[in-house]
Amino acid sequence: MSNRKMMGGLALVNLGVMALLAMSLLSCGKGVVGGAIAELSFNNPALVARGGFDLMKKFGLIPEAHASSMAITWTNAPAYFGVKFLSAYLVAEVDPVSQNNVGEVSKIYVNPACPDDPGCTSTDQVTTLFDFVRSPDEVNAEVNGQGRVVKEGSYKYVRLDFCIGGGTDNVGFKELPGDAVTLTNSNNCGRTSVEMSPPMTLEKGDRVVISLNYSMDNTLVACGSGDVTGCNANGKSVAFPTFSPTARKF
Amino acid sequence: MRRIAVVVWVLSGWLCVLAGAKPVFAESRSAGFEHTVRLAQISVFQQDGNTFSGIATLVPGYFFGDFGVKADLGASLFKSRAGNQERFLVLNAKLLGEIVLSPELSFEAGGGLQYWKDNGDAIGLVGANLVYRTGGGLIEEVFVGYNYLPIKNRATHEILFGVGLF
Repeated sequence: MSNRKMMGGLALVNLGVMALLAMSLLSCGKGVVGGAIAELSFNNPALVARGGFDLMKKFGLIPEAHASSMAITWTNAPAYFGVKFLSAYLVAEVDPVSQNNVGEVSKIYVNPACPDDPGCTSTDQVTTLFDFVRSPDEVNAEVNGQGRVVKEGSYKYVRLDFCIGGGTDNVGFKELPGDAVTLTNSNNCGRTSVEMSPPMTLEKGDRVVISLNYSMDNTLVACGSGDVTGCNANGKSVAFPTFSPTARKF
Repeated sequence: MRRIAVVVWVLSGWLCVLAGAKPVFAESRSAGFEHTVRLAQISVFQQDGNTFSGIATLVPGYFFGDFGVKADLGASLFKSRAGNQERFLVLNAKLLGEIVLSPELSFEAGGGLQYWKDNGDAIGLVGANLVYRTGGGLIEEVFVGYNYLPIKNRATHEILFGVGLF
């Protein structure tokens, strides 16, 4: 091969390699998924049966758009209950003594204020509070169903992280709508959902929507009997609701 | 980025010099080992998703007359449709059987795995390539390929157009 041809060939190959590198780094399109996708929601109307309400919806007695935006009325609940919602994840098992995660762990929500991987490393990285006393539409709009890839496996619990290494003003509440927000600290940094029974099993290609269903009924409690360290001027405090997961594969 | 580009440029130049010293031609093929480096554009289609990227693979093989056995080992980056990833690494490992249809044309088929890092991990595949041999030079072959990845609910089809070097 002559030098001239060799140089021409070299240039061609270099061009090909560069083009390939550019194509890979700029890989475009809608994107593809090979694993299972899990999406978090709260009190998802599509997954939660609310008795007569759902029956009315089912038979078209409430227009769909109106029905999904209707707020749930809770009794003995604060007017506002905000927490620093850092992340949510599926866990295969929880050690009953240490409360540590056991087995597979897969994140299904990371607060947009945190780096996606590994997530927040400090509570201070999140500066806004996530209000649970809202309609499902409002809550889920903020969660913005991230549709995250999760590892295949069998999961029993959903865990929510509200702080890292202790809370500092990571909870805020209002007894009445006109009140100022009482900022306080949670007694612990997370909540574990009720156990899913049977456990949720995910395989490659699955897409699952998980709804953490909760009621704010009776979460406004007397000072000292809640899940936070502080109280408002009226001697009221707050307790976290119980989260019960339901899941549906699509 | 500029540094990576320079490194790739230099490395590919050296590879070409090495390859240029020992070219392999279809006409003179006899039993023995050969290898090619394949560079291809890859289009990936699945339900509600697609991605278009490039893939580089090293294809060593052993040939005996009109038949051959090849490995196909490569890597690419795919765009992710999931909320927590932008792109993910794809590693490709296939074992292919080859039959020479004519001095210019050969057909390869086989199976293997693709590893979609943090996005399904190991996924089995079957695939085939139709290869046109140019007869020598730096671009030794031009090929089209197809891979099928049987992911539940998201059967995935990959189409490749590329060249084999050296």
